[in-house]
Amino acid sequence: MTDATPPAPLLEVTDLVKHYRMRRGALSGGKPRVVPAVDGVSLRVYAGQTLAVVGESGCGKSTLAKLVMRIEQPDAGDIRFGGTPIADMPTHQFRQQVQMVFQDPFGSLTPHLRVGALIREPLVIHKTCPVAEMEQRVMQGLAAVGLSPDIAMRFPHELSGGQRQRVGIARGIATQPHLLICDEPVSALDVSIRSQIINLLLDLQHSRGLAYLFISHDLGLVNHISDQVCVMYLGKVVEYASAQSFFADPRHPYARALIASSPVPDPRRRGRPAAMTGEIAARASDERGCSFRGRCPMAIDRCASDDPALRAIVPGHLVACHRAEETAPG
Amino acid sequence: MTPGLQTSPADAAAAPQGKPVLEVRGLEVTFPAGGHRLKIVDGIDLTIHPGTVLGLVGESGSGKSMLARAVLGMVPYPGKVTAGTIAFEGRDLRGMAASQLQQLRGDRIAIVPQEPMTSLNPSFRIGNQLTEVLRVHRPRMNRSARIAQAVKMMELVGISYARDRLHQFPHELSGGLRQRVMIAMALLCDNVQLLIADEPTTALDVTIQAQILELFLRLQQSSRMAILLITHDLGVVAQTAHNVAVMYAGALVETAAVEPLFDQPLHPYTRGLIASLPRPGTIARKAHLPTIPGAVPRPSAVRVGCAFRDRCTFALDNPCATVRPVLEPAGPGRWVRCHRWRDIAAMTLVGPHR
Amino acid sequence: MAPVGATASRTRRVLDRLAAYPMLAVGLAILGGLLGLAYLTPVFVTLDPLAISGTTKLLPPGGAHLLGTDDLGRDVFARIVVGAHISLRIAFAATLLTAVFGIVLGMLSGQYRVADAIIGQISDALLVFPGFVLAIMILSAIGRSELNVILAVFVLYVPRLIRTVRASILEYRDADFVLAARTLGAGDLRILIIHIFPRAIGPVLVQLSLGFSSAILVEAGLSFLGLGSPPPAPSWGNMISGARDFTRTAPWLMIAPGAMIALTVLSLNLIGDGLRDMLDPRLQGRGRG
Repeated sequence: MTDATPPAPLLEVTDLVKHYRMRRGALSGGKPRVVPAVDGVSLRVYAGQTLAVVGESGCGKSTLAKLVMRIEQPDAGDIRFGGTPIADMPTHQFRQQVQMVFQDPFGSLTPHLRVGALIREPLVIHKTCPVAEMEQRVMQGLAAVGLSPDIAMRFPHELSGGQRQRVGIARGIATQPHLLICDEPVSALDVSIRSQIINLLLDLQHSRGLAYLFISHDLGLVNHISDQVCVMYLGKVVEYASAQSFFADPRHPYARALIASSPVPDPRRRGRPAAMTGEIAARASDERGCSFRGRCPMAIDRCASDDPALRAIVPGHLVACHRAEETAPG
Repeated sequence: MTPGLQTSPADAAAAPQGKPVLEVRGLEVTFPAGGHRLKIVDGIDLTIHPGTVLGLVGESGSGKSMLARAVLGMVPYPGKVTAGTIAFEGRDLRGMAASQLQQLRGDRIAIVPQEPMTSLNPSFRIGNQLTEVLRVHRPRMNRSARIAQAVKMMELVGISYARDRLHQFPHELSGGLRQRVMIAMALLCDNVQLLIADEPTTALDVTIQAQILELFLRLQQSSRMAILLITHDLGVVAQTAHNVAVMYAGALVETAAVEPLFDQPLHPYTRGLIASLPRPGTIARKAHLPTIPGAVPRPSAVRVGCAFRDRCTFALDNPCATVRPVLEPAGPGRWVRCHRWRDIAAMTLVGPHR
Repeated sequence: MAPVGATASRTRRVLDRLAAYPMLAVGLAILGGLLGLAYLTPVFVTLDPLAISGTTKLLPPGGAHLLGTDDLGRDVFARIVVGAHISLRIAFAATLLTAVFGIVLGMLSGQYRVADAIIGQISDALLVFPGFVLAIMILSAIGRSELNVILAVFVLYVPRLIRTVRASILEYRDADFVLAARTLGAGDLRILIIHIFPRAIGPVLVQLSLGFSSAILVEAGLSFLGLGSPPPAPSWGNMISGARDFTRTAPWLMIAPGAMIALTVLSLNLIGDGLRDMLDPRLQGRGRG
């Protein structure tokens, strides 16, 4: 990312908040708790680029996806698409522009519909083209994702995992959207198939100018395909930077631990994983201080009382940590 | 390299100490289907020495989980072990009576299964399930001794508040904790010679995975336990295993010590797998990743030629399409099942790229 | 693992499936026979179930009267056939009504909480009563006629169907593929009809076929008690009722309608069970490739 004024973002999320009411606390007695699944998240996705959202279970990335897709309504904050708040946009129009690719290629395809019907559905719903043209569009869609035309007659259970995911992608791009939310699109696929699907997504981005909001826990993959990276922990963004800047110089202790924990496929680079003990523990909404401090190797007193805000360490590289200046590169 | 952790795989691999813990020869597991029998495991040879980790790499359809079950004598009906031998500490497991096998399971051979979410009985407390293992295998232990042992193991695997957790139910624990409980259960009798871990960290977060893998290595160092680590994740294998065996469509296609395998993979499948991993530095950001075309084949009763040839860039019509390659020695401690491995070795340099 | 590849012709597949479920095939065969008996016979043979004759009373089966005659000289065979008409007509109408209302109300109930509260309350209230007793109560209140029998059976079975449909809707409402359809822009109605309902068809069909057989039984029972189709309609239940005084002297008068009821119910139960077996494991058998 250069210092020049960037173009207007395609998707802009500002201070998004979503709370869930939990009826029971696990270990801490029965008091009903309000859990902030998404706790003040801001991010931007630019046209034709990929923003990766990285985090582990409980970080809020799935909730974030649902909020951006308007499956759920936020409690506070603002989501704008192409400059317009999406709440002001008719749902119909929004769904033509923003689509989703799911993690489970089998579960996300209606089992009793044939592939042709599945791909045709968004065209029918949005009346994208006259009915006479739909068959042709379906065939084009299949070709665009590298499937042969005879796949249109098959049912999902007759296809392999990779083929199913391609169908999911074909369905998602049928209305020529500008933004695709990809929720762990290759995690459920065999390792030897993953790179095929990744290449497909890269090609589609290149040829159609698609923007991706790419949710993944696989940092190696994220490093390869993203332009910007956003790391989430317990509902908050803890680091936000260009992919280049992030992987060259990760600053937040959690981000560093994530990178260190990702097993590198090189046996000569074995070492102790970053001292990251404990588990993610949801906290009550009235707790102060940094939510990561319980597991942080660098926690100081200030971390218990002051919740660190996201601030720029270097232009374009934001970190939410009091001690971000001290974490040396490497 | 930080001290305290055995990080050099060469130590263990180069000088196998003593007799192997597990020796599998020619193992076949078949399932009936419409008149034929499908080979899910198609002639596997494996050797694991004490104090080493063997990483068994395979994707869905490779037969790796069925192999684990076969070793434990737990192939589900209507599948059957139809050929081969399985020797544990020199004793033949296939010929063993069911009761004897049962004695070994949980005591000297333990398994950490894939799904910690569903492997624990949701109706019983953790403490109950842990002590049950001891009740079966250590009948002379009294109640307080059992509880003490359970707590000791839980603490060993890094479960905090172990005494309190005894009274908890599985659903009250997170995935990582449940998996630790499964590991504690596997090690409870303090006598495990062979630990079979079937995708033990696939369902877990990456930071928890790192902790669990570190735990395995730590336990192994102190007790010289052998581990059969089944996974599809080459990263996990690179970080944890001393030796690697790669499975494809029910058969072994390559075995080697971990460093030689990653330095110079010989089988096209292994090469393809390693090459398809995003590796910053070797491939430009957002460039195409190398792929293995096609998909994993479904099990079949009859196979002509090499099972991988449809997806192989090195495949030739003759002999790859007609003659099934056999596992050949390809160097010290290395075996490859490929007609063209010599060509591949010659045309590649040290360092994995195509 | 399902075989990859194009599917064979439809008839072939259907026949293959039937071969795998012999009970279903038997049930269908018996039902087919009954339907043939009921609707094809009048084409070839003139039947008069109402013709009273003084001279041919209580004749045993054989000769001109295939199943004998009753105490009023009426041909039992003719009465059986027309009785089939009545039973099948009533059961069919009741089942159709149940299907339409049950499916619609069940879908509303599964989809909208308010609808669920209202429909659920009424339906639960109806389910409290033992079925047959409720039918008796209804007919005692509104009087006996064929239409009223249909209504009574409908009231009896629609709550059960509503429950079945509702359960299916609830099961799939939060499924991944439903969520996916929603993100594509599908509205509630489209999701219900195209995505969710086809998954409910299995349990619904099973329920309807068993409901059909119950309808036959209920109608027969009501007629037996004198609450069903008014005489001289040769409803099977009426026939059994009328045969009570002649169990020793003319057993065929009771055996014939009784056997017909038994056969019809048996065939429908076989069909229902066969459908259940056929559909359930298939739904799970659609495994991952």
